[in-house]
Amino acid sequence: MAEVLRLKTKAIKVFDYRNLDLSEFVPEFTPDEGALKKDMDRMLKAYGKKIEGETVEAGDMIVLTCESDTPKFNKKGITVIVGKGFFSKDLEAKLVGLKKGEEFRLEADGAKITGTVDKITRTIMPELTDGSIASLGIEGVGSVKDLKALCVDKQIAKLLDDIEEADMASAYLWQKLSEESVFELDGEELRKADEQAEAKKKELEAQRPVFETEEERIRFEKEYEEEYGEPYSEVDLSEFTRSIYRMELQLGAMGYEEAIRQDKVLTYDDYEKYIGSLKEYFPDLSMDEMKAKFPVDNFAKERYNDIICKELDEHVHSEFKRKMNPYR
Amino acid sequence: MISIATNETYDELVNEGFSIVDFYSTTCVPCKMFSKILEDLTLDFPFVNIVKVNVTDHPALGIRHEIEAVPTVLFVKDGEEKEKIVGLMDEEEVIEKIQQYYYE
Repeated sequence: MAEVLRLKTKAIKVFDYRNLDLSEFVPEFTPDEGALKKDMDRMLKAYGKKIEGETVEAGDMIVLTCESDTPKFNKKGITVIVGKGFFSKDLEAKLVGLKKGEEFRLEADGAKITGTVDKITRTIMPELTDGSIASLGIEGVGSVKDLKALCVDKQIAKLLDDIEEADMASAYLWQKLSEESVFELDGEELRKADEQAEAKKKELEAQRPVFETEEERIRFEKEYEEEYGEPYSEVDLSEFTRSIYRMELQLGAMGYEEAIRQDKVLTYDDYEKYIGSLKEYFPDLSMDEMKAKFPVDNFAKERYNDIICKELDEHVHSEFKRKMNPYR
Repeated sequence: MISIATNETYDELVNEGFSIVDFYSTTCVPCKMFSKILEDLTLDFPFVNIVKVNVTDHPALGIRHEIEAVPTVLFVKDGEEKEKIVGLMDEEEVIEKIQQYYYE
């Protein structure tokens, strides 16, 4: 059996972040009523009853055979949703009222077309009433309001992929979870985290702007403030990097315990696969050099950390939906 | 209708009618977004076959169709590949392709 990747640092007492108020991060949001109607129609359509129609109506799905000198209208067995205009708005409008099997001869989009409507399928949508919606058996949906809430949740979920507020809220929870929980830090793991912090500090320091003259500094600070809307300041990188890497270790330890609970503990095989997946990006490095560049300890710590981050993200998304959705 | 393709079932699934083949992997975020778009479109276009290929589980299909990144989308009519598009498409772009290849 492959060697298990474990962390020795332990979380003694885990802070309950679920009660923290995230209101300050939640953005203003107004549902798009057009998109809401479209989504509700789609959902209801999925639960609609299909019947065979005798006469073409707008919204029907029909199978059409048509002949014409215009290639577009020379087709056998083509499916058209009448009135959507995906095939031909003109033709679809002129088909309304035709009977199944009835031969037609008409002109649409400047083409002479003959043909038959071979099949008419109509979807009878469920009524938009609480009783009817409840009977559909959609999980968590017992009324029209619930259905609207579910559809607006979709809009919010799309929005959350694009905005930074949700990421900021997750980062806030990550920090609070680390600060308010109690840990028993393993000396060796802590030493490695501090070493990484020191290396990162040097890397960041090397990226700091260097000014030859005071005028250059003043000009840079002015441009910075204009671009980012806040004064330029040089944070204490030692403290900053050390706290980040220690938090990562602490949350990694928490994630390791969660992985045990979820039966998702990593093994050395997972690490080998990870290294293998990176090989194409570093074709000149040997496997040993790759392992030195991406040490197993970091891999374990980051992956276990990801388990907690995922949990925090899910909580943030659920809280944002609850606060942003007017139907909740 | 959404079908999950394997090496054995792929040809049969795309052989007849109009198909949109979605090459994806489970860890790819844009793939998940595209998957939702396709799920919605199946309700508007129930006659279009949506065929999903997990390239991690079925690398041979990825190699056969020269898939270099996910999501990659193939538009296939009666087994013939009409176009391959790499990257996330939005709903309107997919509808345009359906109009172009199914109706034109």
